Amino acid sequence: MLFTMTSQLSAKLECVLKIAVQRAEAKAIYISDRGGNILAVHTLKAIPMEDNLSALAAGSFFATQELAKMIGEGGFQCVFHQGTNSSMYMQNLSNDMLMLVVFGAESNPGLIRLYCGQAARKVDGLFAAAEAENTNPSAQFGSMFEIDDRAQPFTRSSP
Amino acid sequence: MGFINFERKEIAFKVVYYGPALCGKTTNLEQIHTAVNPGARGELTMLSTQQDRTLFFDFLPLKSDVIKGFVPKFQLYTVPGQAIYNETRKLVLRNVDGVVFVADSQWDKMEENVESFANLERNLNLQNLSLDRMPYLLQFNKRDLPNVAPVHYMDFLLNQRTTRVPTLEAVAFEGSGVFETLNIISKLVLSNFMKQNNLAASSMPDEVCVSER
Repeated sequence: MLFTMTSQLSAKLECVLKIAVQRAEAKAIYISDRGGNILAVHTLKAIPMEDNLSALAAGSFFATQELAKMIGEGGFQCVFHQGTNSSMYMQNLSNDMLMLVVFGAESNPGLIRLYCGQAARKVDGLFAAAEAENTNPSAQFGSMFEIDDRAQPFTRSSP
Repeated sequence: MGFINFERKEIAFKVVYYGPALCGKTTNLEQIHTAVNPGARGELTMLSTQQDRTLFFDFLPLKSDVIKGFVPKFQLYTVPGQAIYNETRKLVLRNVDGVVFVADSQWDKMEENVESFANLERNLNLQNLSLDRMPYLLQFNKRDLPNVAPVHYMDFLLNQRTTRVPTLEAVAFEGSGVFETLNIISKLVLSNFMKQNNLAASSMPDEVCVSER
């Protein structure tokens, strides 16, 4: 089904992520779908190439879910990638969503897991409530789209 | 499927370039990244082996301005063509909105083309998706080589489903046919999105056939 992110849902998610970033002392938290589309984000400092980051994280995380199945697990709840200065934490959400947390040396995996785990449960609740209301997403934007049929979606750069 | 973010005024679509090993999927993305208007493109991420073969996937995010008031974002992916990476291909196909099947035009690659196309159908079916309901097109690549099969023969091999789909000839490493492929699949995906959500009657033709050379 088509997933729609409303302004209200976006504001609620932003609020949850902002609190989680502060409490967990993280640098950034992204919520993305299985395709790596960023649904919500809160960052203390902009991270470059965030579309690429999210797509790679989603690909990587859902590849580990297949690994989990190969060893008899239904899936992994979370995955850490620990670096020297920056690390990542990825947590499975319901409905094939993913929480990606980027954090530095000022935080630690325990803190991240505690506060981001709490945030993940809240995010799941918000998505569940939104899904219950989202019975006819097309009706929300029926008259909003106007496509220029004559235009090419993409053009070449000037030589 | 698609995804709409009203807060960011964005609609996201996923397009996957599929095909046998060494058919030119990555080259398509490289050429698009080089040639597209810089304001429309993100960075190209490639995960390759030491031999420059795709290991996981290549990824290129693009933005268009074809919808007034919204930014359609097209996320272009390639799959690894080598047979051993089928699990990765299944992963990349998740939530796909459109497919470009890149076929290698050389005579001795016809069997690999057919196998890869069958593999695409199987992997889509595993996810309850079907080419019957999926916007896709066929790109016949490497048309500059001397030992290529005629277009009508490739069409006979690969374009025999109930609904015939657009076909394009290409020489991806020169950029020929690459942009045309991108624009047609983008329009097909947008048209399908509008139809599925009853947003407007589509003005896109059901079948587009383009020959470049």
